[in-house]
Amino acid sequence: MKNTMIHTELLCKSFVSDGEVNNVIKNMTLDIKKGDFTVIMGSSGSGKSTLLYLLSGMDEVTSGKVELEGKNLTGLKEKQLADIRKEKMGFVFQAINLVPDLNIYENVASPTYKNGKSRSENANKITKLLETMELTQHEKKYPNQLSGGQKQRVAICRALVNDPEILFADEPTGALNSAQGKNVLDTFTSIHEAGQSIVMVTHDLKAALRGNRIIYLKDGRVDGDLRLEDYEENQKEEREKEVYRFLKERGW
Amino acid sequence: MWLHKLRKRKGQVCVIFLMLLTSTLLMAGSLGIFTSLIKPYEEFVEETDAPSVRAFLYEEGQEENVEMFTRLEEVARVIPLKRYMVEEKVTYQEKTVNETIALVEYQEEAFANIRMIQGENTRPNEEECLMPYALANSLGMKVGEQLFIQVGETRKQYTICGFYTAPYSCNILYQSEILVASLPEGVTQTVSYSIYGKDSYSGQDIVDAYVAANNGIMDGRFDTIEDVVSNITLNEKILGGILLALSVIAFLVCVVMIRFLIKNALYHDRKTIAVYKTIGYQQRDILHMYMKFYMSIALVGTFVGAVASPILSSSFIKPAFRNIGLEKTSISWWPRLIVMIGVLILIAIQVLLGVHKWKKVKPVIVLNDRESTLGVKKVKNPKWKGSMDFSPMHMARRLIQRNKKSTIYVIITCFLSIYMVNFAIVAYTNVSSMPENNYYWLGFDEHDVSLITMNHAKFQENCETIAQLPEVDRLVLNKFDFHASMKWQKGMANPNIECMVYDTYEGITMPMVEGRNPKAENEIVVGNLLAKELHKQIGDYIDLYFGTDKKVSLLIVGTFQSFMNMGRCVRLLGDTILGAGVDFHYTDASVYLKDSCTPQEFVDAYEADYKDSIKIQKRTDKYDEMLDEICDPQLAAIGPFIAIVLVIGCLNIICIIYLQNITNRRKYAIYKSIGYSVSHLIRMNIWYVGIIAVASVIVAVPIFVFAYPKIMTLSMSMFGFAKYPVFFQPGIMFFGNLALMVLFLISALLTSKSLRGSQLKELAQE
Repeated sequence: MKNTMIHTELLCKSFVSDGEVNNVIKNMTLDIKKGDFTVIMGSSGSGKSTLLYLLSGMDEVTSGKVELEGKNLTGLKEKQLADIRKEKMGFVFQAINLVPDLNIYENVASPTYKNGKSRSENANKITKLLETMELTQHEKKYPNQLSGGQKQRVAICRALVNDPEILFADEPTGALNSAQGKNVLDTFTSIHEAGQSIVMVTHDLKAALRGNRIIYLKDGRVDGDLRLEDYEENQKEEREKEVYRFLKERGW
Repeated sequence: MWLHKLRKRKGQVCVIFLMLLTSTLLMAGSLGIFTSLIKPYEEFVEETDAPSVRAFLYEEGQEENVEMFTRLEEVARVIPLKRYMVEEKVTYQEKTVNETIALVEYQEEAFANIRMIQGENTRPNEEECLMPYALANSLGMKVGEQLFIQVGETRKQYTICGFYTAPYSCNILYQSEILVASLPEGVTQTVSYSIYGKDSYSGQDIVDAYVAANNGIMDGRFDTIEDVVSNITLNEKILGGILLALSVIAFLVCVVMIRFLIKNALYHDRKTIAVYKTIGYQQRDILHMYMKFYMSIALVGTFVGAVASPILSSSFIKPAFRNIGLEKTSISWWPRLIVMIGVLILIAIQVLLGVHKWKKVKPVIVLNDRESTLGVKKVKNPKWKGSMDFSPMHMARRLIQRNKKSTIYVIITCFLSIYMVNFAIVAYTNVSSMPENNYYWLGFDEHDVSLITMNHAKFQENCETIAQLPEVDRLVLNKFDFHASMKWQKGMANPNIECMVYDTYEGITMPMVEGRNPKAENEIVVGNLLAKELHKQIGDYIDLYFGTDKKVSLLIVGTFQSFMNMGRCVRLLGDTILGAGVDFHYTDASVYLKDSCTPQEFVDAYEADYKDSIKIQKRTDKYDEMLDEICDPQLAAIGPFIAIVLVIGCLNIICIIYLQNITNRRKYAIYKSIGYSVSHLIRMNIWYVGIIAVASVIVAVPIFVFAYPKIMTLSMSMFGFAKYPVFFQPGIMFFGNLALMVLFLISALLTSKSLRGSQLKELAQE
C-alpha cells in the first residue's frame, strides 16, 4: 500500500471578476500517492492548472485544505511555503521559465541555496543531472542559446536538484515540437521509474499515457479517476485502449 | 478609451497630476518673480522723477562740479544736495539705530515727486524729518515719534512727520536718507549731486562721459539708477534663481518618474496593446490613445499649476515692493504660458518614446507570454561554469553585473547624491564658521574686541583711556572705509577702491596671500583681485588718488584676499594718507586682550561705560551684517538643497528599483517558485542598493575632498580669493553619508514591497 503524498479535502477555489464569482475548483477531495505518476486532464477551463497550483501551494485555496505528507499547506506563511517548495517540490512549467540572466549551470544550481547539503554534494548532483540530461556541454550557455527541448530539460534538472518529494509539471510538452516533447516525456518516465512522484497537467494523449493514474476534471470536479498501475509491461496495448475508452467516455 | 483609463487609473492620474501641478507652479512662479520685478520699478522711477545718477565726489568745489556735469551733453540738469553722513549715535525709542544714515537737506526741485506713504506734507519743517519707508518699516516707526541724533556734544531731536520712498532710498542695506529742512549746525557737510540725463542717455552713459571728461579719473562714487534698481531686486532675483534651479531639478525628476509610470503602465497594458494590434489598430492609433490619456492629465495639471503660480510669485516679490509702497503685484502671464508649453512638450515626448518602444513587439510574443528577443544582445558566455551562491548578497552582485542599465542609473544617483550631500555638509560647516573667522574672509587683523566711533570728538581720547585698561594688552587704531580711486582705464570695472587703514601693522596677525604688510609710508598691500586686474605684482608701483589732485605712488609689498568692497580693496598706513595732505581720522580700533579676559567679559564690563561714544563689540560680531548677507542665504539654501537632493535621490532609487521589480516580475516569480521567499528577494534589493551606495561613498568622498577646495577657490576667484581653507569634519561627514545610505536602503526596502505583488500563478499558461 503506497503512502499518501498529497491529500485534499473539500478543496474550493473561486475567482471574482466584475462582481461575479467563478468557482473553478468545487469541493474536491482526492489523494495522490507517493511514487505515482499522476496525470491531470480535462478540457480548457476545467481547472486542471488551478488544481496543480493549489496542490503545490503556489496559489491560495478559497476553502478546504491541501496536505503534503500530512502537513496542512493552507494558512502557512509565505516563508514556510517557500521552504516547502524548495525542500519537497519541484516544478516544470509549459513556459519553461528559466532565469534568463543565469547560465544553465546557475539555473540548475539556483534552488540549492541553504538546502542543507554541502557545496560539493550540490556540485556533484548538478553535474550528474546535467550529464543525465545530456546538457554538460551547454552548462556555460544562457537559456536563449538553447532549443526549447534543451531548455525544458534544464528546467527538469532544476526541479530535481534538491531531490524533491514530488515533481509538478504544468503542460511540460506544450511549447515543444513532437521530438522534443518525446524526449522530455522519456525523461519523466525514467525519473518516475526511479521512484519520483510526479503530478502532471496535460491535454496531450501521448503524455497522458506515461502516467499510472489519470484524473479527469470537468467543471472543477473530478469526473473520472483511472488507475493504470495494475497493467504489466507487456500489456501496453490494453492499457492504451483503456485510456482511450476512459477519455472517450468523457467527451475527449 | 482614454476616459476609461482615467477612471481606472485614479492613483496614477493623481500622482502625475500632482507632480505636474507642483513643478509647473514652482517653475512658473519662479519665472514670474523675474519677469514681474522690473516694470513696477520702471514706473516708480518715472513717477518719482529719479535722477539718472547720484554722484558723491571727493572734490568740494560745488559750483565747479555742477558746471563740470552740466557741460556734458548727456546731462539735462544737476541738483546739488547738502548732506551729512551720520557717524555718531542715532537712537529711536532709546534703542541705537545701527543702519547707515545720512541727513539730506530737503530741496523742492529734487524731492517734489517722491512717493509719500504716510504723512501730509512732502516738505519737512524745522525739527521735523521725513523717514525713508524702508527704514521705518525695519524699525517699526510711526509718524509723530521722535528720532535722536548725536551731533558732537548735543543731541538733536527730530519729529517724524511722514514716510516717503524714492528709488535711491528704498533699501536699508545702503544709505537711508532722512530728509530734513536744514542740516544741524557744526556737522561736516558734504554734497551729493542728483544728475538728470537727457532722454536717450542712461546713468552709465553719463558716468562714462564724466570720467572721459575728467582725464580718466573717477573722483568719487557714482550710483546709477540702473544699478540701484538692479541691486534693490537682487535678493528676489537670487531667491527666484534658486527657486527656478530647484524647480527645474524637481521637474526633471518628475519627468523621470512620469517616464517610469508610463513604462510601467505600458508594461501592464502590453496584452491589451497586443489585442488592439491583432484587431487592426495601428501604432498611430495606440499612440493617440495614450497621448490623449497622459496629455489630458498634463494639461489640467499644468493649467492649475500655472493659474496658481502668481500666489507663489507674489509671496516672494511682495517684500521687495513693500518698501516702495506697492500693495498689489501684477504677475506677467507669458512665463506661465511658456512653462505650460514646455512641460506639455516634454511629457508628450515621454509618451511618444514610451509607446514607440512597443512598436516592434509582436502581439504573438506578448499574448503567449514569451520573452521578446528585441534588444537582446548576443551574450558572451563566461569561462567559468557559474556561481552556486544564491545568498541575497550574491544575487545582488549578480544583478549589478548583469543588469547594467539599471545599475548605471543607481550608481549615478548614489554618486551625485553623496557628492552633493557632502558638498552641502562641508559648505554648511564652513559657512557657519565664517563669523568666527571673519578676519580671514574680510582681511583684517585677528583681534579680540572692536571699537567703532559714535562720537568723533571723543574717539581718540577714549581709545587712549581704553588702552590703559588692565585687561587690554594692545590697541591699534584703524579705519576700514576710507575711499580712494585709481585712474580709470578702458575695460576697468570700477576704479573706486576701499582702503583698510592701520596706524601700524607691526606685530599683528593678518592673513596674506603673498608678501608682507606695509611698514613705510610709500608701501601698500593690494587685494589679489586688483593685482590681477592691473597685472601688478610685488615690487610694482600703483598710483592712488585721494580726491582728484592728491595722487600718491605706492610700492606693492604684498597681496591679500577679502570680501570687502567685492575684493576691490587695499591696506595702507594712516601716515600714507596724512602724508598726502588729506584730512583723515581713525574711526575704529582693534583691541587685543590679555589672556585673563575674554572678549565677552570685556564687552560686558565696558559697553555701558562708553555707550554714547564708542560701540564696543566682539571681533566676531564685526561686519556681522555683511557676513550675514553672505552667509544667511547660503545657510538658508543648504537645508532645502539637502532636502531636495535627498528627495530626488530617494525618488530615483524608488523609481529604478520599482521598475526593476516590474520588469523582472517574471524572473522573481520563478525564484519564488523554486523556493525563494519574498524577504530573500527584498534583501537582495537592499544589498543591491547597499553595495552600490557603499562603493559610491568610497569613490565619491575622496573625489569630493580633493575637488571641493579647488571648486571653491575657483568660484571665489571672482572676489580675488586665491586660497579657500576648508574645514572637513569627518564625524559629521560620516553621519551624513550614513544617513544618506540608510535613506537609500529604506527607499529600496519600501519599493521592494511591490515584490509581494508578483504571483506565482502568472508563470502558468492556460
